[in-house]
Amino acid sequence: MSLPHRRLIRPAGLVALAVVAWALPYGLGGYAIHVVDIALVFALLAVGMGLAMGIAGQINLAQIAFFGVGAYATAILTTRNGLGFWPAAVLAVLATALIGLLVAVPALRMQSHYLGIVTLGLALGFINWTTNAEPAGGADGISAIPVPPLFGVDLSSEYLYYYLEVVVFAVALAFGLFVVRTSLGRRMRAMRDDPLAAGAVGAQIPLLRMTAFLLASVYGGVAGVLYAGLVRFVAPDTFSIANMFLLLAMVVIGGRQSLVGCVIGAVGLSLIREQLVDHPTYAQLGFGVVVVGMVVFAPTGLAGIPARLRGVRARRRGSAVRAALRPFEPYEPAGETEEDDGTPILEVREVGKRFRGLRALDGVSLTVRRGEIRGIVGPNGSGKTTLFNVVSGFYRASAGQVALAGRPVSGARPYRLSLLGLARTFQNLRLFTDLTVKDNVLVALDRTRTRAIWRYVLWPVAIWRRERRLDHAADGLLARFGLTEFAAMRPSSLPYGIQRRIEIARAMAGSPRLLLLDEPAAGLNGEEVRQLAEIVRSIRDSGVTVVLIEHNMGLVMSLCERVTVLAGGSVIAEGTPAEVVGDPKVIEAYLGDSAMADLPLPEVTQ
Amino acid sequence: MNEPGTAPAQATTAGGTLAVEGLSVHYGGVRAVRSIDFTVAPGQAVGIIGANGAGKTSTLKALMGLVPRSGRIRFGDTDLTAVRPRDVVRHGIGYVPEGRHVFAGLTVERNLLLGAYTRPWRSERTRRALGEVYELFPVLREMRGRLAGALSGGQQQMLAVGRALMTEPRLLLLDEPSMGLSPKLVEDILAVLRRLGEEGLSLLLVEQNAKLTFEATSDCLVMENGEVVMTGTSAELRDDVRVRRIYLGL
Amino acid sequence: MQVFLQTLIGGLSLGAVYALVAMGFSLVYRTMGLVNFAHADVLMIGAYTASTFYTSTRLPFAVAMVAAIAVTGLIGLVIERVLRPLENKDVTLMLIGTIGFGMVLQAVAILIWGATGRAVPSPVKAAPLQVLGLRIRTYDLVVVGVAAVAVVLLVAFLQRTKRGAAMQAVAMDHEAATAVGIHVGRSNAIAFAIGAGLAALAGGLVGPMLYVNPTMGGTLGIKGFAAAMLGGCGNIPGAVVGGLAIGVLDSYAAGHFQGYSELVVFLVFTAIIMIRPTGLFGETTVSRA
Repeated sequence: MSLPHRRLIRPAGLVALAVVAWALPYGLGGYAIHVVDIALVFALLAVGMGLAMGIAGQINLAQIAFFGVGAYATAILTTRNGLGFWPAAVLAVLATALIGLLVAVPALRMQSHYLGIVTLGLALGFINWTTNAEPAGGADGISAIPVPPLFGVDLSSEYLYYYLEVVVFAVALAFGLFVVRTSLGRRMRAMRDDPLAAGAVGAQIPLLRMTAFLLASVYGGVAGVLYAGLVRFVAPDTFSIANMFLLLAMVVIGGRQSLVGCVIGAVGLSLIREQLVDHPTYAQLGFGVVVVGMVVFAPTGLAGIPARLRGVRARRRGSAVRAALRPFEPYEPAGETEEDDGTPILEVREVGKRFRGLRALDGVSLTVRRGEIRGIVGPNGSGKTTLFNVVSGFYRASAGQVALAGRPVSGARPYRLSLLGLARTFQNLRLFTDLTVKDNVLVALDRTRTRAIWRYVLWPVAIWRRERRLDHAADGLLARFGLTEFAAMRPSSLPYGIQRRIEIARAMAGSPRLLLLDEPAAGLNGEEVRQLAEIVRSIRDSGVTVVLIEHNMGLVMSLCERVTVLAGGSVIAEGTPAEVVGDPKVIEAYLGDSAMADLPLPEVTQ
Repeated sequence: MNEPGTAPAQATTAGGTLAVEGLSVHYGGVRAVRSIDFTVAPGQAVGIIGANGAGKTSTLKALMGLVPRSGRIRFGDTDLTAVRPRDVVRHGIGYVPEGRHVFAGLTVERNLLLGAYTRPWRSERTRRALGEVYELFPVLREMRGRLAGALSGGQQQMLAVGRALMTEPRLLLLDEPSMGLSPKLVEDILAVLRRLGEEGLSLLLVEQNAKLTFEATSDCLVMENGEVVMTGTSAELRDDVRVRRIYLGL
Repeated sequence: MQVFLQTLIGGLSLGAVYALVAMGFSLVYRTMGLVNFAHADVLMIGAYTASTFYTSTRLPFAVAMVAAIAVTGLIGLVIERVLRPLENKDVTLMLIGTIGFGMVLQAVAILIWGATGRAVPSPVKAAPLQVLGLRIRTYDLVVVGVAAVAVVLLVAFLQRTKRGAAMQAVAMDHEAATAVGIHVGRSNAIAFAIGAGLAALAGGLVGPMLYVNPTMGGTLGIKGFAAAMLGGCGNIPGAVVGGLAIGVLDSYAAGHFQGYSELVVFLVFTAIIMIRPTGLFGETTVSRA
């Protein structure tokens, strides 16, 4: 498909959709339009659910309660407090957002199944409240909600209400898609794939989780308001666990990682449910069977089927795409530009770390000068990676202090350290598996604080402009690391050596001052190790300090200016590679009197 | 029924040559191993070296039936391609997976006994096998009541080897036993491998550590991109200029 | 004091039921790393089957119970078999799949037994015991006794038998388990079947205490999950303690907050689990990364 052609399809499709949406009521009877109105409400709910579950990976089984809070708040405020519909609607959405933030609090402490159970429990609690509370009208619910006034348009007509819903829905969906495809959505997807790595590249995980629930609850609240205005009656039955699972079925069948898929699932199931309205039990049976079938045979849902078919076809044709890794283009060496006032870039003082009885680190002190390449070696279990985890904020040290460029950072969260100029890689690769290579890099290039997301609501243009800039920077970075041809691929489909290079590129995307590499040569062949050495030297020459953990002693010897040796959680030696290798304590603890040690000894001692 | 206690192949005693012909492994669209051939004679120790991603681990997993494969694999008189993964062990093949993979939440002794899963636990034979493993790795006897997850990396590696020995194999497949171990522990592993070789066990050792492999085996294959690019005796390959340049960094 | 103790005793029998639910759920979680959301509906099916056998065929209660356990065990096997392709791959998908199964089971129950519920007569007719001025229903004693036996048997199975050890090994590392000759699929199937049997036991026991209806699983199941989490997911003794704790909490909430008891129970539970996400006995495994 040629590009100009493709550029035309989008707007043409949108215009066609708009025409269909506008013309639809003309072909529908009174009951049919009611069904469509309800389907749109569910579509809105499903989009919110998709954002939290599919995009941000937060299993949220309280979506139906958000819906309920929106609807009940509107009902109570209009009928009991005598507020007008729209003021009540605004307050209702705010109330839902507040509840959303409260439900998000457990997500800060637990994930996955646990979160599913807690959110479902809270939803049950909400149902329990509605069926018992006097202001909520108990099992009878609340009726006689006023018709929303709108510049003289009679919204008691479900036909006219349809247009109101379509407009709200279109705006909500467009906003959702905008979020997914830009900075915030990218970070949420990164968090879904690997929260630790996302934190390490500057994504503020707690705030992102709150945001995910905030989005889900606002969509739920808006859906609740629309529902209250449409049906003008609320009762506990609408917000039951059975309907929660129906909503889940919509999202799963449509495709949870695609908002459009969620909409298709919601509209489709709403219509089918209406067809089977006289046989609700069979409908439930059918939905259950389809959900089970879907997770087994089409886990990406209806929305994922085209991509799966393409994948199958590509495999049949034999993978035609043969991308090649290009050579690394070295960085411009930086002069002595940075303020080198002699403060070490990294200072670790008397750091200890205990896990229950195990003393992983004990009084470790370490000072790294700017512009150094420091090697950290030691037997397995000597605490090397634990030290990295303490320095990069994954663990909180039990004792001692860490300072980054003279600034005390003990106990700081990974994202803060990332924003302060620390980057790291992981021993066993932590790439975002469902993101493309380019998105992997983009997540790390994005240096904004999550709180800057107010712009999404107030000034989206600025977000677009920034996206443009980031995109350009990502292309440059991928080109430098020779990864351009892999930009659109998923890392998991690529060979190990390339994945390692992507991880270094991602770490460098944050323009760090200090780069921690955890066994960067593990799993690389001789040629790749040589390339790695070249990359690390160039990174250092560009003004970045590098600390690396490595078992490949050949690499450590040739690359590092100074080497720190850990054993049993303590520093046992430090010095130039030659000094360290000659140290009897090191030979005793690490090398043994072994011919096995990968040490080109004679060359180094010369 | 191939349930515990009714193991079929234990009766055939010594010998059995592992003969691999045209073995290929496909993951999705990727061919990790491309039609390789090799044999391991009874009592022989064969090594496979190569970089990560060369297809070494896939080769071992294919022998165990843990990945989709094609080609012919014969062990003695048995066609292993027709054997289900969980039954491979019943034909006398023990497997030490890459990264140890001990059962972290069970005790050391439970881990070892699970190696004897296909036989009754209370039998004299199992008790003797357990004794032999403890004799080979005295530290495991000391730690027998500890949870496997609480052992150090080197002890876990010994446990993984011990568990594989409990299956009473005639051929032992080892995947990167030196990974992440300090040179001193690598030395210990080498000693164990030599001793097992002396006892007549066939070994197939997959390693990135070429030096260890050359010390522990008599013959070697070099794999690159899923293919065998060189074969020879370990002594020959050790002195081969290309091997030295690529794998030993000399 | 009297009221306090009476509420405590009232909570214990329901707590024993929660403990059974939590145990079945923990067993599946421990072997497959999966939270089985269909567990609650399996319990409901168990309650219906037991009560049907008991009331309409006049079988002794114990026999009806065994029949119910057999039926649900079979359902467990079916669920495991269908979801097997996802095992060790994607836990979230499996979780959604079990929710799908829950929907199916509920629909099936409505088709067989109708949407309205039924009351089950108590199988123990003896008058309540009076101990130190406290009233103890004899059926409650039966429930606690049966639950205690189930706990002992399950722990013995996991700790003492080869099959039990193999089941745990599969949970920890399925490839290594395969390599030593363990049939991973069968092991998971058995775990699932035992879990389902425990749900049926809970359902059968709770039948005479509550009203049996197609949606009874919802609250009971989630409280059972809550109990398992409270005790530390996958931990069998923890499930017992968690179950009793939720039962007692339930009993007090019902006494003090009447209609809002569920809301209160879930809020308290959420608060506790926030403070200790690994539960009371949960192990935070030492990471040597």
